[in-house]
Amino acid sequence: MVHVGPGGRLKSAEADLIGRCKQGDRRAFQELVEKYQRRAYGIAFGMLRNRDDAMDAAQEAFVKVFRNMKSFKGDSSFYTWFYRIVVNVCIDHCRKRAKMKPVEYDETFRRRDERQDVVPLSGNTRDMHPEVQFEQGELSKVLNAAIESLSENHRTIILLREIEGMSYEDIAEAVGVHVGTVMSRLHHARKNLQKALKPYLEASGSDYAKRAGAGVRKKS
Amino acid sequence: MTDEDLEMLHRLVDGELSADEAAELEARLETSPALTGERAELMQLSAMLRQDISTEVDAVDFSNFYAGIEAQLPDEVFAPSVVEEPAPIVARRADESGLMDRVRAWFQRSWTPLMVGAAAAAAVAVWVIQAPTEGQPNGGEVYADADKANSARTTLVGLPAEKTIVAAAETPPESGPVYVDAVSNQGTKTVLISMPADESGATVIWLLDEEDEDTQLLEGEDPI
Repeated sequence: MVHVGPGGRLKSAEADLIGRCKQGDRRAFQELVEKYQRRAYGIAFGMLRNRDDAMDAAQEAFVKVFRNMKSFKGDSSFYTWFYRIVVNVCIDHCRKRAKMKPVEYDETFRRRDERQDVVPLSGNTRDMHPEVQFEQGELSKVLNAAIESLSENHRTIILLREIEGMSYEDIAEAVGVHVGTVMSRLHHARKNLQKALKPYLEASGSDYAKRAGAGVRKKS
Repeated sequence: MTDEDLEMLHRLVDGELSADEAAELEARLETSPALTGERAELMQLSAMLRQDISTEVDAVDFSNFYAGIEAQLPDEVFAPSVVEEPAPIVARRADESGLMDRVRAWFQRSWTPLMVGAAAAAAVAVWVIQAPTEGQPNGGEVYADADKANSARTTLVGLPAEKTIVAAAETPPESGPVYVDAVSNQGTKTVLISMPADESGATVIWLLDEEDEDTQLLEGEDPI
């Protein structure tokens, strides 16, 4: 787990690590990679929903981090700068693959509802027990489809919020938008996912919350 | 449930409300099943997403991850590897600012040569004392005033019993300087011992009377 100071500002140890990376210290760069690799991969997988693509994107992001390290001034938080690179690389990958159209929330579900040949997200798994579905990977598939249905912008915001636990302010800095935009996108992304996963959310109830330690976060 | 309620609920779940706002909304949650249900769904959704990613990340082997990155970077972007050697002692001393550190550093610098020098001197002294001298009798033979000399010997410096004592005299010789290696008081006598000084290389002991008038301090004389 990476520990970042209040507001995501650099801690001295990390500042030292980054300073050594800027000087071309191979060992320092390896240390930095090992510190952030799981997070980078997690975001990349959340964005791309494909293991090989996520691995490529995460590695490419680190290459860009190293190449652009000297342009990082240290007056902003490293991790928001880093996530900005990861997200941009993932968006490039999405566009190169051309497997996904950036469709906003409202249109997505109206189109799905209108099309008779599309099986609903909950599909034929609606009557199965949620635990069994999850264990069989069924829920994972449904979740995958629900996330893929989000636009890149919405996906980025909700992943940074839910997976990385970033504050609205840090997300705004990482993505380069206003805090209000973050809140709006997050609201729509959640609403979209809730709609797609409603049967599972109702059925699985607090089990997931207990397993993943979910709870209301208190602002310090 | 209005859009504003929903927005507040999202901010509550994300920890973005102030303490006052959170308390106010919590109070409303207690009386609103719709808001409570919505909050539960948001929390479940959050848990579901985190579990999905966490499961995936845990399943990935990162052992070659860095190698894959480095393969995309030319070697010249890295600074040449420097073999790490211990810093010179002088450089390290710059950090030793405390008194104890400085004392410790002084001992490290000086103690070893001092000990080596002392050990060498002791070795030479032992050799001189114990080396048999040609033409001199061995076996503890005493030439003059044997009782006093032996008494002084055992009290003074622990000379070995078999060591020859060449002379034991009441007064030092008048001619030339006398080099004394040890001094001791034996009752009213002062014992001087000169171990290797004379040409014969044997131990010489003098017994001096402390009550000699010459040793009396003159008025106003500094006893030192």
